[in-house]
Amino acid sequence: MKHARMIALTALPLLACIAPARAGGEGFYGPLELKDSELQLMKNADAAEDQFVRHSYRYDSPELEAALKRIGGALAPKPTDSYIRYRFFVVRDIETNAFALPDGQVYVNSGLLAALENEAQLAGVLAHEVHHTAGHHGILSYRSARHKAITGAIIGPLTLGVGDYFLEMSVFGYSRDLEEEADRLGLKRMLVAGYDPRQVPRMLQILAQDPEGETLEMKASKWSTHPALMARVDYTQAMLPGVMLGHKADALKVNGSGYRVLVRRVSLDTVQDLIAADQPRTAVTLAQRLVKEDGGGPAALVALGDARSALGPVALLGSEAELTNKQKMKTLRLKAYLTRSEREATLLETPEGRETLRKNLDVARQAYQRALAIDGSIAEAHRGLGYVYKRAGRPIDAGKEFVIYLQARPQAPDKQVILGEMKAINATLKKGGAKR
Amino acid sequence: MTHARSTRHRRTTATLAVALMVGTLATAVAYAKAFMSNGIRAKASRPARLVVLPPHAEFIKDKMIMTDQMLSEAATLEREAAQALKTQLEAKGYKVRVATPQEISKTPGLAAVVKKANDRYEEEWSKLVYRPKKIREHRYTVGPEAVKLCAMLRADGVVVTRIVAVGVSKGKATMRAIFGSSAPHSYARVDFGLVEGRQGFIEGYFIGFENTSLSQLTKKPAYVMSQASENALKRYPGADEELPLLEVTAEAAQDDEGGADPVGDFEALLNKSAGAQGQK
Repeated sequence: MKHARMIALTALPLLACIAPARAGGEGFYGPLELKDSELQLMKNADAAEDQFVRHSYRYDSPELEAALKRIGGALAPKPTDSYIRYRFFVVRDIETNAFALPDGQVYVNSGLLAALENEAQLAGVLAHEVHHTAGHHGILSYRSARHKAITGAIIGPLTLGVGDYFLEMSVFGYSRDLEEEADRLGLKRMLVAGYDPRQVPRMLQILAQDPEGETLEMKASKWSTHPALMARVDYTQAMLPGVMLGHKADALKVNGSGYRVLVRRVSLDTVQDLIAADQPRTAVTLAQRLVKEDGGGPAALVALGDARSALGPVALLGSEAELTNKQKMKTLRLKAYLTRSEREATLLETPEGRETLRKNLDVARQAYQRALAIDGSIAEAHRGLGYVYKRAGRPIDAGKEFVIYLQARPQAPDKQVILGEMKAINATLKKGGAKR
Repeated sequence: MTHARSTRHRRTTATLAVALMVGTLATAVAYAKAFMSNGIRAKASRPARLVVLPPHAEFIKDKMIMTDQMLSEAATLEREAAQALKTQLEAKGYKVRVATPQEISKTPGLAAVVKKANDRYEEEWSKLVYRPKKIREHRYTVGPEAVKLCAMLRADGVVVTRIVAVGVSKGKATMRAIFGSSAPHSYARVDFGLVEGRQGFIEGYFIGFENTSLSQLTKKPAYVMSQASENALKRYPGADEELPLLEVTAEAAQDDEGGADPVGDFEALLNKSAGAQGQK
């Protein structure tokens, strides 16, 4: 064992020399012939399209896909190779992310679409992604990784897998240089397509937002392949004067209101997805924004009620102490160890937790009642009120609201869930003691 | 002297043989693990109509020079595992069908519910693997998403499967054996959770391992998945075993026939309560 450690330590400097030889500083924008193993890579990329459908990841919205095709099509450089065919899809995922495959498949997460403010920001995302494909970044990274895999396989056994660690570190995502290149070329391409590139730093700021207060503050180190988002905000900001030189900013397209109308349904769905994924603070932030945009429309108010109710005993804003890296680590550890109901029960043991629950339920109740005042037929508000009353210890009121919901939506997809709630309420009433 | 030596030799051989047998048995036990709720253990409640959701497979290939076919091979493993689970659960007497990706994508709203239920299961699974025995107390739940899913699929429960296949080439395995690295062999692991459709609890968690080779994984995926699934299902109780009451199924059948009416019951309880207050 001592001997093995010695070998590993001796090999470390050697591996450190290999690691910086990452996937080059720049992409290749001409025709790039594929090697045999890369043809297989392309087949696999093609299979990914089917994989996303098979695992129910694709978000079904022909309007959104048509919009992505229109915007992305205007931004994508002419394909240089027969294996590149640009197509754009939406993935049902709350993360604010997008990615491109080497054969031209571009995926944008529903969470990102819901978070962006205008079409120019979406164009910024797509311009960045299509340049990963156009610059063959995936293939070049694969070639670089493959070289390292062969070297790693030769010296790997000597280092007891230390080589794999370095390999993983350099393979994870595109290199910082390639990301910067996609940003730089993306800005220029946006101008050509008539979009305002000044929206890109704002778009990156949106990506960096963390209403949940769970993301650890990390500084970009010499080992990290992805540039930190705030660093990307800074350098895209610095690039803008040069890019904009000679262009009239007023003539460039931003399209805020049209975009937000387009992403309204996906935004409402994202609120529900965030709730399901136990991200209630982010859900409340998005729902509040929808309420503002909508001028207090009933669907947005119901979404706000649902999100606020999902907060339960969790405060809307994290305290300063909660936002330190140390506390965030502790919260993440607790989240990894305890189930949702156990965490909630722990919070409800404290008077603060109980008071926060009361406040959140009150705000949720008001949001549902406002929705019903605007549109009395919005059954989901009754369902929401049912849950609020149930948690507030008012089973009779909860039951009444659930009955209204079921009468209005006899074929609701969650009918069995509500009937389950009704059974529990009936059991409570049979025991007696409930007055409301 | 010769006699004593011979006796000692026989004793050593016997001891080694016993140790080898114990070792082999211990390994065999480790290749199939099962954790079940009290309801299933007592055979008091058990979902009878099951739907196997499309499994998720991860194929980790460790070769001297890496090729990249894992995606399509993982898809094959997923397909074969779903089929193997269906066949073997049916053999145990359950009504089983596999929810195909085509069915899921064609039914309006189903894809979103499947994804949410899968994500929720994943969240619980990350805790469950550390304390699987807590399944007995219904610690883990997929919640309303599972209830919605089962209602849409008209099932009493769903089977959520994860597959990990590790393929190590002979060259790499030899190098690792020489230089003493861990896990030098290939294997397939199938684990699945049984989620009931009334409240969404994870009722059972079953794991099956199968030692195999890289070539078997790629050339005979159906065989490997069948073996691993069989191992996982070893302790899954059969539907034909003594069943005092299939509570979940019985309730579902009652609901289907319109027997249960929680809304009517609620209204009756309200009226009764109003009547009692009026009398006062």
